[in-house]
Amino acid sequence: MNYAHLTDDFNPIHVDDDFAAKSPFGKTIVHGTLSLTLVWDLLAQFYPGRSLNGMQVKVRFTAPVAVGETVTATLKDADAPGSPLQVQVLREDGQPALTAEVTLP
Amino acid sequence: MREPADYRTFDSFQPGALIGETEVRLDDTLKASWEGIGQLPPDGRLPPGLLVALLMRGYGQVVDRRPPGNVHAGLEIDLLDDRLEGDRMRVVVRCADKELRKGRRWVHFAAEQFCGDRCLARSRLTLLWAR
Repeated sequence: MNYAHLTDDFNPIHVDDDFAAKSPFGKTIVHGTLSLTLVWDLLAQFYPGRSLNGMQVKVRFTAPVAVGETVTATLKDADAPGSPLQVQVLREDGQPALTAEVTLP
Repeated sequence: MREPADYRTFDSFQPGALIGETEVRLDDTLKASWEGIGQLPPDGRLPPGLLVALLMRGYGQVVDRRPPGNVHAGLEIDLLDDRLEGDRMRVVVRCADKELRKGRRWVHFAAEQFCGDRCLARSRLTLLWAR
């Protein structure tokens, strides 16, 4: 609910269990950009103290995450110098909830 | 509940057109909400997660009357400057493009966040529009 308040996005698919139960998702789902916070946390963990100004991030939200579900973020190093880092946030079933390409400054 | 005629529709978007701008204020209640999610550095710098959350708040204020069933499919963001001096930022939103693909209505929005004259971030949001 903190994130709904922060973004002022109270779409019932995110906050209303009864509404969401009748939706194609069957349950409330988290805001996609909340899952994205894991990407920032992961980058802060791997690049501590580094300014993120100048960073470019391209995100695709590929699958919904149910409220209460545990998600895991993974970071794959760049294939070649200067190419983007590949980050995924995975759902409990292993399906990517989002994929991101991160170009560091 | 809104009547369907009130919603912004795919047809109403004009690529390249300014949709509007709004001021977002990071007040104490929003700070408290963020601190339930992440940390708030004492030096006034905005964590990227909070910057994105405030982007979404501004987007929602500008692109109001959204129909139910929209899907947020993508986000591209260039982080330029994480210094928020004071507690206010301006969020400007344009329709960057729209396209019909395989019967689906895609709308791309270009958004910029400013603190005074400084651009904090430039973003492109991709939505699958419901109506």
